[in-house]
Amino acid sequence: MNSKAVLLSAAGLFFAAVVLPLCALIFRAFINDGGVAAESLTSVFHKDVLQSIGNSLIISTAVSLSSVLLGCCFAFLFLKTTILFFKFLRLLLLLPLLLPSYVICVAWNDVWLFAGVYKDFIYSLPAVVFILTTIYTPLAAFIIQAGLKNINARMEEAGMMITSYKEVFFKIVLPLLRPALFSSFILIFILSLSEFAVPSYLSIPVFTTEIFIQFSAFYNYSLAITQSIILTSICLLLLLPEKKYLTKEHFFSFGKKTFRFRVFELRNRTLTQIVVMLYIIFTVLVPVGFLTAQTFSKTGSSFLTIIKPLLPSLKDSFFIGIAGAFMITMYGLIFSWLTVQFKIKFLQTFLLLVFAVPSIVIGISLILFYNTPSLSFIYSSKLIILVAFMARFLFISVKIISDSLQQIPVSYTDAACITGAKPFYVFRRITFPLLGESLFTSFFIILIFCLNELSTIIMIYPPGTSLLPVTIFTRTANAPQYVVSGMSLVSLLFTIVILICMFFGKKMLFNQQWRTSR
Amino acid sequence: MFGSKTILRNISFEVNEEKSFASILGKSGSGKSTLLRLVAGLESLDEGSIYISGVMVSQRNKIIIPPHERNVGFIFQDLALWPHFTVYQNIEFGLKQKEIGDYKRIIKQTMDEFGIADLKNDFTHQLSGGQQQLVALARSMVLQPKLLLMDEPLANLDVKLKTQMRKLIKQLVEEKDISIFYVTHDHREAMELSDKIILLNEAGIEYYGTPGDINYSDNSFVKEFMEV
Repeated sequence: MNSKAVLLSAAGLFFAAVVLPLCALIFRAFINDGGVAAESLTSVFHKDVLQSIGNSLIISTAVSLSSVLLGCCFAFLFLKTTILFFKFLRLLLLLPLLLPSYVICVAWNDVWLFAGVYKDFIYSLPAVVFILTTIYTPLAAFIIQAGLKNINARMEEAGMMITSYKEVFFKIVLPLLRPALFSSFILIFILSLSEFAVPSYLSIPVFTTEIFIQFSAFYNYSLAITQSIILTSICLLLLLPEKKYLTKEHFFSFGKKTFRFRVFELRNRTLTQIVVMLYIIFTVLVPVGFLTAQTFSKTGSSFLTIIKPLLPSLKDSFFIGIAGAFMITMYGLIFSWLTVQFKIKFLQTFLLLVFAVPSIVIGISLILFYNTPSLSFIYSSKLIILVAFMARFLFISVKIISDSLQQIPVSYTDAACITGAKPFYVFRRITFPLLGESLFTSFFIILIFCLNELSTIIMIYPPGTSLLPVTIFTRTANAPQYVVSGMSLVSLLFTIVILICMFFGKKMLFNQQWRTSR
Repeated sequence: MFGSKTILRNISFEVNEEKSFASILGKSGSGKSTLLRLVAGLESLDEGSIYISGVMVSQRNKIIIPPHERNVGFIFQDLALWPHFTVYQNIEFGLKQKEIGDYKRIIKQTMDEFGIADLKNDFTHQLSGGQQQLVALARSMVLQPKLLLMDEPLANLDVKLKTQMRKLIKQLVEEKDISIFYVTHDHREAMELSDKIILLNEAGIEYYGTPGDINYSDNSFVKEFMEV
């Protein structure tokens, strides 16, 4: 068997494990017990269901708009102005995106309760919008920044020879940024539409919580499936116009020389600096600070009493996370190779569509597909969690690795082939070292996502497995506030430790001389 | 064919085996680089065949002799120096593949010849443009090819360095008994270096002959391109 056949077989395994359950779910939505599932199709027009759909759409629209607006400002400030400590500020801004959303939610709950905010606000739509905006603003900033980097300074300079920069910004820069703005809007819309933890914690009925209740509390599988299909259809319909940009553009850059871009002197640098720092203090440091204060105000030195019961969850989460990140990175490499080297482009589009399927829908599809006598060995073991991780995060890994793979000039491998090196040797000596940094990044980013994933895992985790997000989330209902805060703090520290390992690991492993000037 | 676009058609020419310098000229998109890649065996032909030293190396949709068995060297336009290898490792890579016993001596000798012995532990980004050219040449020449394919290798150098490198390349042809296929769009460079010129256009070869005769060509495209 040649290498292409081996890689395609591996890809086929992914489709069998992840895509088949989703196809089976679609089939079950329309055909129920041998007949058309008409009742469940009409019941989605029930008042409560429509209200939850309305809430979901309001939240998603508001979060997407505000995140893109703020993200655009931050991207411009960090990339194109002389703002001080921009690297540090950018890192801080990114923190909410890397933390579990329920941790951020618990933290804000602490802040608002302490500040005496009315409960009517805490448990309301604006509160959900606010929290999700702080989480997704860094994602918008990240994507828009990549778009800004790809605007050649010459384009701006040519405009500046004719008119003021204000005109240039609105007539040249913004139109060129349009794909990045739209993509970040659509991505954030989809992510907030499938968000489960924050609305659930703040008791706001949305589509995902409605599906969860129908499936887990009322065992109304038929309705839950139909609602899942509607939710998925909304996400996919939104995604399709933007799929070209989302799959083709480089959001990650490893040693790639981008265009020269202009950096501007800020006229009111002090004022802007203060505003940016205040935003970051308010949205990042204050909730984390309160989480810490809340924890230690009651437990004092007995923080260990909170950690101790969490140890089995920490251990399970860590090892399953490592296994998931390793497997996804390997699969990411396989899919990237198939996409870039064998030019099977539709694979990335397909993975993007799977990525757009809300996590709760993935959970339901996996339960219905694997909870059968012949496949129960997967359903009742940790394998089901790994399959769920694959469905959720493979696209991210492929995006990171394929962006990097595309940036390796073909002439590097051609030059090696001419010497007679065997393909695997060329891969081992030339391609793999050049891909190393992106594989490493993929591993750690996916590890963080795996450790924080809740929406899918809460539905499928097998008996005897105790995962940190599930443990914390299930205890929020009956544990005292300081215990919930303490557990969230543990989760936060866990993520920060992994981020630090990633930072120093990257410095140690990839700080070779040949990279330093790139 | 590249996708649905035909890059080269009606191409037929011969070049002497030893000490020959053939320049391939043409406008952007005329297929100069593709021609080199076909000769190297990095692309396959849709029609026709390629012979090297009387042996058929490529035939319709089939690469009969793989690139590494054709005894050709290739200097890429971007030089393709591996950034994670030092100068020494870049040169060593090919020799290791050939499993040549005394390869360390050969590397040392080659590095001395090209005047890059002092750079052996440097990474390629630390080198100047001219030094990078020398390393790329050394990496190819250390394998003693009979034919060296060069894809606009001097495009990014300043005038002074270009002149030096041209001299060196000419010297290589004389001393090493090799032939060179040299892609360029600079007709003056081609006139100065070559003993054969191949001028490509979308329709195929517009001119194939010596630099001396090109001025007498009746072909309007040739006249325009060569500014006759």
